Amino acid sequence: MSKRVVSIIVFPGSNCDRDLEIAVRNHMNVKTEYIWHNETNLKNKEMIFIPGGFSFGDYLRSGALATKSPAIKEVIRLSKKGVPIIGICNGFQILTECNLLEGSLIDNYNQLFICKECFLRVENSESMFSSNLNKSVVKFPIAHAQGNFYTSKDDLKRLEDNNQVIFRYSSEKGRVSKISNPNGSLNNIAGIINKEKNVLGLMPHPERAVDSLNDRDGIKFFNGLKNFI
Amino acid sequence: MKKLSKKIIEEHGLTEKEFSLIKNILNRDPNLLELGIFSVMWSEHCSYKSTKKWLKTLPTRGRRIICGPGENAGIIDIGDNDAIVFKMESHNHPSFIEPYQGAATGVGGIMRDVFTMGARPIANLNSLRFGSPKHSKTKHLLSGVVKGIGDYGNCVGIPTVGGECSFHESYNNNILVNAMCVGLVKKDKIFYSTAKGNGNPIIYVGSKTGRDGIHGATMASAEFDETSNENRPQVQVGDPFMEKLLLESCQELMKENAIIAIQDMGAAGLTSSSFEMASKGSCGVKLFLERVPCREENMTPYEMMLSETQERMLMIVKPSKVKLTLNIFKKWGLEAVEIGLITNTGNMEMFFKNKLVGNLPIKPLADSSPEYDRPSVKPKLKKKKRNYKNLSIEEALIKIISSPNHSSKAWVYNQYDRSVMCDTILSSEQGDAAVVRVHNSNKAISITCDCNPVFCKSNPLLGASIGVAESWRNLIASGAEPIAITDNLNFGNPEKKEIMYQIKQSIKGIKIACEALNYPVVSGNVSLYNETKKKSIFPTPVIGGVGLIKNINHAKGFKMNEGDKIYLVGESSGHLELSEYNMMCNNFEGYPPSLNLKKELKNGLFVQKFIQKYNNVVSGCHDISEGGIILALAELAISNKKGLKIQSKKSLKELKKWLFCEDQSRYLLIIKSDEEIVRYAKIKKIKIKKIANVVGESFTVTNRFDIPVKKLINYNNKWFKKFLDK
Amino acid sequence: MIYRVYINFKKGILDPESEAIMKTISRMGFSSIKKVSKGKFFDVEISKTKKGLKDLEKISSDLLSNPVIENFKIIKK
Repeated sequence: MSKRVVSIIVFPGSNCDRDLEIAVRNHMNVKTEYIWHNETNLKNKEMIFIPGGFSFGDYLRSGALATKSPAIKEVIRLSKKGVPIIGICNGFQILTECNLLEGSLIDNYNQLFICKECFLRVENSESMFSSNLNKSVVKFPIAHAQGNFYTSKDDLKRLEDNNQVIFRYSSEKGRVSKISNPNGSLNNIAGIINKEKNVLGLMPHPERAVDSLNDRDGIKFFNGLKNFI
Repeated sequence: MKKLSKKIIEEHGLTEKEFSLIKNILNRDPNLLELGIFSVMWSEHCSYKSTKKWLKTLPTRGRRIICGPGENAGIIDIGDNDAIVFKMESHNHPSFIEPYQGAATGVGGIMRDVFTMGARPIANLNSLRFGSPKHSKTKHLLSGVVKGIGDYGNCVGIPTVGGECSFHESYNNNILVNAMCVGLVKKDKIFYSTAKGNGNPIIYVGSKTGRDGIHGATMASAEFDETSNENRPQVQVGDPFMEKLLLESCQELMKENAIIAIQDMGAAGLTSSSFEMASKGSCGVKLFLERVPCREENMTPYEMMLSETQERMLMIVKPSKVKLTLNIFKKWGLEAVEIGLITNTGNMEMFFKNKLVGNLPIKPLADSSPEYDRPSVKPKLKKKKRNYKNLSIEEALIKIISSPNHSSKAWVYNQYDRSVMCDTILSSEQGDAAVVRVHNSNKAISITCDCNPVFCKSNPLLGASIGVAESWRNLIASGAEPIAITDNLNFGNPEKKEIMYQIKQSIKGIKIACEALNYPVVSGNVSLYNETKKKSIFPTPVIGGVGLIKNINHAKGFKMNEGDKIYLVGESSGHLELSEYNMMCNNFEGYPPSLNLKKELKNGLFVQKFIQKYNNVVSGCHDISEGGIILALAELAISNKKGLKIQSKKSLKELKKWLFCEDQSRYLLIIKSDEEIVRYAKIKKIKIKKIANVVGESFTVTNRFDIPVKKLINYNNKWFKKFLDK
Repeated sequence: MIYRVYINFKKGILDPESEAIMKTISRMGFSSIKKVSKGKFFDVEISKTKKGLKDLEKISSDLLSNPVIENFKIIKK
C-alpha cells in the first residue's frame, strides 16, 4: 500500500463518509484519514474528499452552514495551493457554497428527492479526475434533493468553453437529452471542475458503484485518481 | 388538594373503574400530574389492555431468538457474533393529521427503538395504506407521507429499501403508516432498558422538551370524530439531523462501557421511558424536573412528563462515567443533563423546584394496568348484488398492471435513498424481498412487509395466516432462510364486538402460521381505534419478516436472461374469489384461497434447498400472490424489459382461472437448464411445471394474445404520474 | 394590488432549521445574536375587490400555510 494519505472531511451529518473511505482505501491503494469539521489543521495535504450527506442537516441551503467550519476554511486555503479536492453530492454543494466551484445546486425540477442509477457521459478526459475514464459512459447512482445545477448564462458559456464540464447526464449510449436529465440541471451538467482544474464537484456517487455485486464503474474512477496523488 | 372533576378524568381517557383502581393503588386521590401519568401508561398504546391477553399466545421463542417482545425491539442471532434488531411501529393518527411530520417522526421513532439497543440501523421499510385515489385527501396524504419517510431516512443516511403502498376506500379517513427498521449489532454489545444501581444518575440527551404532542399516546387510542380536525393537539416535528447526532453519539458512547440502561423517549415521552426502565429493574426513580431542558417558557411538570418531543433519549450511566458521557454528547453538539437518579424506594418521585409534585409506586402502576377480555362476535358480511363484468385475459391483465395498487411504484421508491451504506443488494422493486448485506461479510439479510387486508376482512384468521405465509414465501424466494417476524396490528375500535373478533382471529391466524412455519414473533405494535364516524378500516395485521442468506450469491431477485425457462412450483386449484381478477370485474364476494401450511413448508423448503444446491442455474425467483401467475410473469417481463412466451393447452375458461387464481404456496423459478430441477423435484416429490420461456420482446400467451413488453411498461408507469400531476 | 403573506411557525413548534442556523452563528462567534426563527413570504397580486382579499385569506390558510403548524399574516405592500 502506498504511504500516501487521503483526507476525508467529516461533518456531524455526513453519511457517505464510510462508503467513500472504503472505496478510496480499496481502489486508490492509499491510507485514509477522517478530518472532523472543527479541525483547523490538515496534516496530510495530498488529496481531500468532501463526502455526501447532510453536513449540518442541510438547513438553510444544502452545504451553506458547512462552509463556516474551520476544516472548510483550510480546504479553501489548500485549494489555492493546487491540492486536489473532490466533493461528491453534499460535498459538491459545499464547494459551490464556498465558491471554489461556480454555480449553485438548487431544488430538483420536480421538487423531490431522487435516487436512481444514472448514466454519465465523460466530457473531458484530459482532467486528472477523468483521464482514466476516457470518453466513455459510466453508471453511478444519484441520491439528492438539490442537484439541479444552475448558473448564469455567461458563466455557463465560460464553463463550457473552458472544458470545465466533466460529467453530463446521458442515456446508456451517451445521448445527452432532456429525457436523460434526472433533475433539471442546465446542459445536463452532473460534475464540473474549477478553472485551475484541481477541484472537482459531482452529484452522482462513484463510491456507490464499486461493488462486485452491482456496478463497478466507480472502481475506474478511483483507480484513475491514484496517479495524481 | 383540589379534587379532580369527572370531566378531567374522562378527558384523560380513563373509565370510572380504572379511576377507582388508581385510588386503590395510591390509597388516595391522584393529583393532575399523576392522573396524566396513569392515563398515558394505561392507554391502549402503552398498556395493550385490549390485546395483551391474546398477544401472550403468540410463539416468541426459537433457536435464533435472542430477545423477544417486551424490549425496544426484537433480536435474532445470525451467527458469527452478529445479531439483527428489528421492529415495526405505526404512526397512523399523526400521519393523517400532518402527513409529512407524522410519517417522518414515525421513521425517527422506530430507528431510535433499534439504535437504543446498540444496533446501527441498516435498513428501513414501510407499509403504507391510503384511502381511495378518488378521495379528496388521498393525494395530499400520499405526497406528504412519502416525502416525510424519504427525507428523514435519507438525511440520517439509512437506506429505505422497501415496503408496500396500496389504496383502499376503507382507509379514506384513517391511513396506515407502519415503519420498520432493521439494525445490526454484535451479540455481546447489546444494550437493554433494565435500570439498576441505587444512586446511579439518569441522563437526558437530545432535543429540548416542548409542548409537542401532549397526550399523543392517548390520542392514538381514541376514535376520531368530526371535530378532531379542529381539536388538533400540537403535532411533533421531526429533526432528522438531531437523530443523526443522537445515533452517532450513542454509538460512540456505547463503546465506552458507560451505559447501564438506555431507552428512547417515544410515545408518552419521559413518563413511559422512566417508568419502563425502573419497572424492569424493580427500582425507584427520583426526577428533578426543573433540570429538564425546555424549549418553551413556564412549562409545568405535567407537560414535561407527557411531552412527546422527538429525538430524545434517557439513559442510566455509571457514576464514574458521567463526565465522559457529557463530553461525548458535547462533541456532537448535543445537550445532555443529569435529571435524576435511581433509588431503591420502588417509587417514582418527581420534584420540581425542591417540591415533591408527584409520587407513584412504579411496580403496581405497571403490573396492575388493566387487561380486558373484550366480548367479540363474528361480523355478518353483507352481500351486495352487483353487476359483474367479464374481462378477457388481456383486458384484465392491462387493467391490473395499470391499477393504483399494481402500477409501478417508482414515484414512491425513487424518493428513498436505497443505496446509501453501499450494502443494498436488492431493494424491494427488484425482488420479493429487500436484501441487505451484513457489512464486510459474505452474508445478507432479507426483509419484507406483507398483508392482504381484503383476505383479512373476509376471514381474519385465514387472512392473517396468509400474511405470515406470504412473508415467509417472499423470504424463501429471495434465497433466504426465514427467521422471525415483527407484527403491526392495525384495527378499528376494540370496544366493538365485531372488531374484537377480527383482532382475536387475526392473532390466532398469526399464531397458527408462525408455529407451523417455525417463524416466531420477536416484536410488534398494536394500533387500535383506526376508525372515523363509525367506519372502521379493514383489519390490517402487517407482517415484517426477516431471514438470513448465508451466502450472498444465493440472493435472488426478479432477474432473468434470454433463453431462461420459468417453472411453476406448487399446485393451482383455480380459486378466483377475492382475486385481483374478480376485483377488476367488480366482484368483491367470497373467501380467500385455502392455505395448507404443511404444503407451504414443503414447497418453500424445496425452493430454498434448490437455490442453495443449484445456485448457478437459478437466475431468479418470484412468489405468486395477488394477480396470480399472469401478474407474476408480467412483473418479471416489465422488470427485465424482456419478452416471455407462456404455453398452455387449457381451454379458455380453464386458462383464465389458471392464470389469475391466487392459490397459495406457489413460486416461479427462473432457471437456465431443465435437468436439475426436473430431477430434484422428482426426488422431493414436488409438483413443478415448465410454463414459460424468456424470449423476444413480447409478452405472449401462445395462441391467445401478444403484447409488446414496452407497451406493458407504459401501462405500468402511467397511473402515479397521472394521479400526481392532476 | 399586491399583498404579502408572511408565514411562520406557530409558537412552540420545533423549528430545527433555525436551531441549526443559530448553532452555526454561535460557532462563528457572534455572541450578540440571541435567537433566529424562520418564516417565508409570498407576494400575491389580487383584484381590487372585497372578494380578492377574502380569497387571499382563504388560500393563505388552506394552501400557502399549513394550519397545523404555521400562522400567517397578510400585509399590504
